[in-house]
Amino acid sequence: MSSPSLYHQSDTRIQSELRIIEKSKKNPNHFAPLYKQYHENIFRYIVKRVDDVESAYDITSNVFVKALTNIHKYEFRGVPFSSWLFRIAKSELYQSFRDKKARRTVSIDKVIVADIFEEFEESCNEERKEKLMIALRSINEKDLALIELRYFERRSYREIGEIISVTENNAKVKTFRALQRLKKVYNK
Amino acid sequence: MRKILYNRDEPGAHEIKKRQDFDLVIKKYQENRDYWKNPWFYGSIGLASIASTLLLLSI
Repeated sequence: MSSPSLYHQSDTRIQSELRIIEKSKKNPNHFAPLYKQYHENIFRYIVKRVDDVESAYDITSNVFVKALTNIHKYEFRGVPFSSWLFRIAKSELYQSFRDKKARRTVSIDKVIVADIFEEFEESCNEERKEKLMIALRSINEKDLALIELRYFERRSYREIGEIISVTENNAKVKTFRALQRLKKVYNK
Repeated sequence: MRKILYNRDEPGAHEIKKRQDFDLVIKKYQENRDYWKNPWFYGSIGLASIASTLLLLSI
């Protein structure tokens, strides 16, 4: 399942979120609507990258604790609140790998595999699928993260840019290069 | 090494919603915020200071 895009938000929704954020800076209990709104998206982002569902719930909870702890630092500069949350999620996720609380996992399905082979301009069969799995185990973490965001979760380059803190164009270039490197490892 | 999970079953939206626990988030947030109010925090700082002082005096 691809994650629903949170990026295209109306001005009214952004303003409403900003009001909640301002209130949450004074009283953390006001943060509840944002927690309810983004909990599933953050959980789905995390669960796809860890092997244990319970760990994913724990990490998700920690993401919101961290968000509340740092909410006083959040200022709207054109970056949606959701992207700020995803940055925290990314950081918490890698912290859990360093602490060995979760294992890095790649969740893949037949639709994703078909999409990747379409990008490779090849048809899919069992042998090629196995080769792709080996390539996904071997590529570097930065390339894998980009491929997951773009090809597994179908996020826009703009959203990817916000999550990895680069411009939209830079995200596009980096993702293209990551796919080229995956293809190279696959063809070895 | 990375683990690859193929066609994995993920929890559904209803199940994920059931696991929402904002009270726990607030509790953890308050614990993090109030760690300096915990006597253990000062206890460990105090012990570290005494140990450093003793170490310096012994040199």
